[in-house]
Amino acid sequence: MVFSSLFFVFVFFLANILTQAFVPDIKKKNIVMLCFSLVFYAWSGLRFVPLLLIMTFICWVGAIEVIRAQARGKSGKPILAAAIVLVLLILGIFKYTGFFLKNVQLLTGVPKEIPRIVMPIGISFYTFQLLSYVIDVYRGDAEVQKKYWLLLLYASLFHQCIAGPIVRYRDVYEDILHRKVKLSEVSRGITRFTVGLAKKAILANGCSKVADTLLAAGVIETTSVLGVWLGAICYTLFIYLDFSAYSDMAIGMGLMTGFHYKENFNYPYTADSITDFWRRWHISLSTFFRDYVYIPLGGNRCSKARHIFNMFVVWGLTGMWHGASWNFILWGLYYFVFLVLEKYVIHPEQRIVKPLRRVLTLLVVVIGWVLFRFSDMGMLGTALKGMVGLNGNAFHTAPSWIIFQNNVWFLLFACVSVTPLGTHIANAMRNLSRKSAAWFWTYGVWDILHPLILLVLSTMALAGASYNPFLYFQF
Amino acid sequence: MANNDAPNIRKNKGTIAVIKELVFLGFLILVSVIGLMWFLRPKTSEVEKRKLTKFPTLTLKGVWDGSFFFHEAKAEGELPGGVNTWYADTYPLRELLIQGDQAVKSLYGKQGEQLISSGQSADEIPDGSLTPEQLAALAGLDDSTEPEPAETGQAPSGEVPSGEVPSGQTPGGDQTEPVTEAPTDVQGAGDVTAPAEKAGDIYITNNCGYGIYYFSQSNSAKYVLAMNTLAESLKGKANLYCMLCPISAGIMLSDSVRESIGASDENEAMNWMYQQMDPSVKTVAVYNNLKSHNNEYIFFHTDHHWTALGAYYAYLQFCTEKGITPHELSSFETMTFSNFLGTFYSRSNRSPKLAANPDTVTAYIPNGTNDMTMYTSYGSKNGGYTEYKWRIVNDVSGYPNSELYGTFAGGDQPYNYAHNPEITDGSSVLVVKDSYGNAFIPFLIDHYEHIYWIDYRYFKGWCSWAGKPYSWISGLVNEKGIQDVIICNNIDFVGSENLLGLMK
Repeated sequence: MVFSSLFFVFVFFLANILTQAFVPDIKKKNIVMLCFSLVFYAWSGLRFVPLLLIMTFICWVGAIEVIRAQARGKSGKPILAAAIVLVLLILGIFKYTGFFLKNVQLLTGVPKEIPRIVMPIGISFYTFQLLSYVIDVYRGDAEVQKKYWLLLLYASLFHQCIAGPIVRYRDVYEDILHRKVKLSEVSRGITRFTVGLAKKAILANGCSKVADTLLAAGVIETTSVLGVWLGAICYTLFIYLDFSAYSDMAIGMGLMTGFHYKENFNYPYTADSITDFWRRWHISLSTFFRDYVYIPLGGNRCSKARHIFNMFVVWGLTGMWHGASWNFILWGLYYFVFLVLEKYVIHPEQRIVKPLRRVLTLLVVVIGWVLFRFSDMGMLGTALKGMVGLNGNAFHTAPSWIIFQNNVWFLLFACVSVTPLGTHIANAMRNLSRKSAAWFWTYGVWDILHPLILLVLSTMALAGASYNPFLYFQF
Repeated sequence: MANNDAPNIRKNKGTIAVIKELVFLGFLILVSVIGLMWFLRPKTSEVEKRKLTKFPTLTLKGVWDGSFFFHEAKAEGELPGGVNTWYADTYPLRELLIQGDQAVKSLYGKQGEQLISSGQSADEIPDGSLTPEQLAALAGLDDSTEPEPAETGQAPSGEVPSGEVPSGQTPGGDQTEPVTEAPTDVQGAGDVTAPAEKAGDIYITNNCGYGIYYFSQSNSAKYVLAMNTLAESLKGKANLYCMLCPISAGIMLSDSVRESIGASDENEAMNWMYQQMDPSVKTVAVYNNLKSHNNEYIFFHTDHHWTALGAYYAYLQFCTEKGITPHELSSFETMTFSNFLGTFYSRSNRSPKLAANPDTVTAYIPNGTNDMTMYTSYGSKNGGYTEYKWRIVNDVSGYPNSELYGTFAGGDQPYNYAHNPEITDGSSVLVVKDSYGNAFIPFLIDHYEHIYWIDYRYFKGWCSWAGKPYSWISGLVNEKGIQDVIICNNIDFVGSENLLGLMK
């Protein structure tokens, strides 16, 4: 199930918060939450549930055995390694078999038929969550969870199971065991959830529509230079708005039910370097790779060559994590190149003024998203050529211009929405509300009404998305 | 002040948070409760011209693979399904919500000119004539044609407005006699097996919509090959006329504007297809005749069809090709229906620009007869067809304003017949058409004694129901001894498998 559907918001989510509010003790709350989470996960097909149960089981047993081994004075490393290998193997089979065999087939001609393996939804996210758990237990950074069902609740928790953020067990186990709902947090959660929903249903979907129109197969070959750029920028807007909206909704739903998730994005498009961008983009993933791959490899406290190698591994893996296709690996390594350049060659913070650094960073990011979008290498080539006018198309043509004009205010708004301006305004209003009673109540009314307005607008947008006219009656 | 008031402010903040929660929860519950009122859930959408998603059948497989809960469109032209889709698609306030969404979207930018695009683009139109092998190679380029309907493709209720033809009583108040009881052994009532034809791309400017045509090499080659096969099977039996109907962008817009929006040259496309056809096919090239009248009201502003006047200019070209004298427009009595908002209006999700410029439908009543017999699936509860006496130009006053094009020739029914008592020479014609043919048929009535017309999208299903030993054009020609066959279809649908499948 996706968050951005009427059924989720008005049936599933409502039922969830009502039961969480009225079920008395924490154990029952957790049982109910687990049921909701499993139903949520099963919504994409019951067939995927056993895999989630098995992977959780492996890590549950693994962590318990690690602790037992450590109690016996051993390191527990072989057990940890076995758990990690098993879990990664399962991820690999479901996510990368097709990709691997396709490449083998290209090189050797065998196998003739590539089996079609359907990837279970969210597997990349919950695999990493479970890995972080078992590693943290091994390192003594997290307590072992003896109850399987509570670990399953952590892995399957529907707030973040299928689209992140990648929550560490040590960050939520307190909430799982002892969460308390605070009025002020519920209030913040409502705002956060509705902002996320509107971001997805209105802004992200709108940007994606423009990007899809301009970058579609069969169209991109003839799209003007400006059109390809407009498409790429809309895709850039879309991917942030979409992904961060899911995190917003997860954080919001968490606050409403007593869970506290860390921020996953920090206005990445205002970054002034690529290094800075990756501190702000999908933070839970980059910190995962930092803590569990980069630092164990030696981080930057090693020779220059080794450091570059470490970065290569991390960015190759980051690319691969995003999808089983060369373009994602290319996209990861693209960032590897820029990060090495920044670190060892360009030193932009010493040479380039900040505003220009921001523009250049954004340019790198936009082109990066073009790599990210096209898993078909032919189309990727067409898109990149199209951006520099090598497809023989005009600089600008009527279709892309009309599409731009039809969406000009919307796109302006979307551009502003990826900056912290909205947050600054909200903070200023909050500060102002402390100045006088009039401002206090004005702010109060705004605070009550704007989630409602966002919810109404989102509901309309989600209903509008089902509009599907036909030429002739299809009754 | 802040310090003194701190407890007070804290209390007030708490009050605001409680109100906020109640408002939020209240709204969720309200929307949710409305959603529970299953009896208020709409089943069809007039403006979208489709059935809304049904609640899925619960199967173990559906739950196992998740398709019960949600699935994407299984084929082109189909819609997504599953519980989630059903919930949103039939939500009781859906219509209102969509209108609200449209109102918000109209603020997205400057809407003077709009391009409603589904991401299609045109192939290059080849030069010169090709050998059958070359055509076959072109035809095989891709298989992106519309899906084949199920074997017993049942006609939709068509442009005879649904829900308005009770047995025996028509909206106009005339008596109709259901002649045949539909048999009971056909498919379930209301099964949608008709091919999905989603509205194409539209360019809107100055409050007028224009249908955009994209030339497709493979579809055009398939069409030509099928036409040549049909010509072969009709040789020595009947004259075969091919009349490709242009759509509006190619006729109404200047070449430079048309090119700027990426639309193909319809004249060049039609001429190329005609050039590839067997010499025995009599081609009715209507393009120039329409183009030279493009300062007249020959295409609707809010709908993808031509007007009756547009069809009249095509008819003039047909008469030239057949060598008969056309009738003057002034010789016909007319019926007029105003405030028509057609397919462009719904495709644009009810563009306010188009709403500001509604169309008027003028229909010319044939002199020979205005009576026809049609077979429609409407009114038969068991999914069969019912024979109705109808009118070639029907009074559609009082019909929903999206359905006024339905005045012509019974709308899109699978099989229709008219007998013109003014002519007794035994002459006969079969028109194989989509809805473009509807406006053309009234003009043809006065030139033949027997006039048959079939809608190629639904004919096969009717044949199957009627127990015909054939389900293709030449079969009907043989049975009725038809002299002239006119293939009259919208150029956008040359790739229609339903049409090509009939041209054996």
